Amino acid sequence: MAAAAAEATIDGGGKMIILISADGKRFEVTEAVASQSQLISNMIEDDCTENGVRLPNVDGDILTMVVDYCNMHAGDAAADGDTTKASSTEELKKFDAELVQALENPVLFKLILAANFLNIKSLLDMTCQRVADMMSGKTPEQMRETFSIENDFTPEEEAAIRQENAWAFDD
Amino acid sequence: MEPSVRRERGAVKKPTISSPFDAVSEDLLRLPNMASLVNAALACKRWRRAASDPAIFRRFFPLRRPPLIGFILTDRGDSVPYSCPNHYFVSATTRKPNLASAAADCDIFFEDVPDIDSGEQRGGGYFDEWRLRGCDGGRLLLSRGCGGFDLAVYDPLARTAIFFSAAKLPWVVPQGQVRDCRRRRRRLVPGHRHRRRHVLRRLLLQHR
Repeated sequence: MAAAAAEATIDGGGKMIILISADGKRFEVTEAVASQSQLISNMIEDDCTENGVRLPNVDGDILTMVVDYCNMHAGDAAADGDTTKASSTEELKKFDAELVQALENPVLFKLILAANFLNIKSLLDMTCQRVADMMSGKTPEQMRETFSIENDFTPEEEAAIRQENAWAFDD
Repeated sequence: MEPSVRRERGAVKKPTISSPFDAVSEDLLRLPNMASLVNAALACKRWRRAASDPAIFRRFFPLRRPPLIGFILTDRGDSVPYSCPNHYFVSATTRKPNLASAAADCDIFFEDVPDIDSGEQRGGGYFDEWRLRGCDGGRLLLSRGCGGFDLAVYDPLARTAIFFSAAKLPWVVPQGQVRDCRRRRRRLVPGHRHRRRHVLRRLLLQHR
């Protein structure tokens, strides 16, 4: 399938695919890069990426990040591929850390949704782990503050939950 | 992760963490310990629902470390099954006030073991009393009767008991907690320890 379109490729990653964000921005990526999304990988298998892949759930700024991430990580999937693409493990770790550390919460959550929708497991893992790290060690009050959550428990309900889970707070 | 396409969510426009249920679950699954999970469950009802998901519980079950609430000291070994040694309970909850009520409510001296008719002839007196023979996973192994053939596994917190007759037991009991009751030292096999919430990690039996 990819052989026929090989002349259209830039760097040996296979055929190019156009991703179109919710706000109409277009991203041209190789099949190898896009295939990290299980969703798109399935679409490639089904041969329905000809006219571009519309992603109505993903905004352009989020898709930019996703594409950056996939470009960086394309080396993982195609380890035997070309060496200019394949990034070293340290570089990748640094890139990943910087990517999630810098994000404001709303953007982080959008990225989680996008990773989930596009079904990119490693990105979903990383972003959800970041949220879990932000949650852990915090009191419920601090969590509400961090994530702008309204407390919808009555004091009685809260006390009951605390009591029945008191053992969890012990060593 | 679940397979490819999920239903589209209108929630994308307003991305708070609480909008997609799945995302909350995914985050909770990655918390390092039970305490964080409970705190998250206390943040709001939606998170609590997510935290109550069986999938989350499966992930956190192995991390459950029920706390120690105390020790039982006895002044006799269990080699002589006739006697009812004195028991002392040493509470370990001084610095853990939230466990004190659990310890206070615990039937540590197994006074509430339900009455059963064992069929074994007993001579009355202390043969009628349950004796502590061992413990594991917060459960007590008790025996009664002249030969110590009436056995019970007792949960002093829930005050529930499972009864056995050692005389009728085969060498290996598939679903039971007691093995080889006559020749070897009686012991508990931790079988049901995860079924029910248990606050006791262990009740340590010591011989003076």
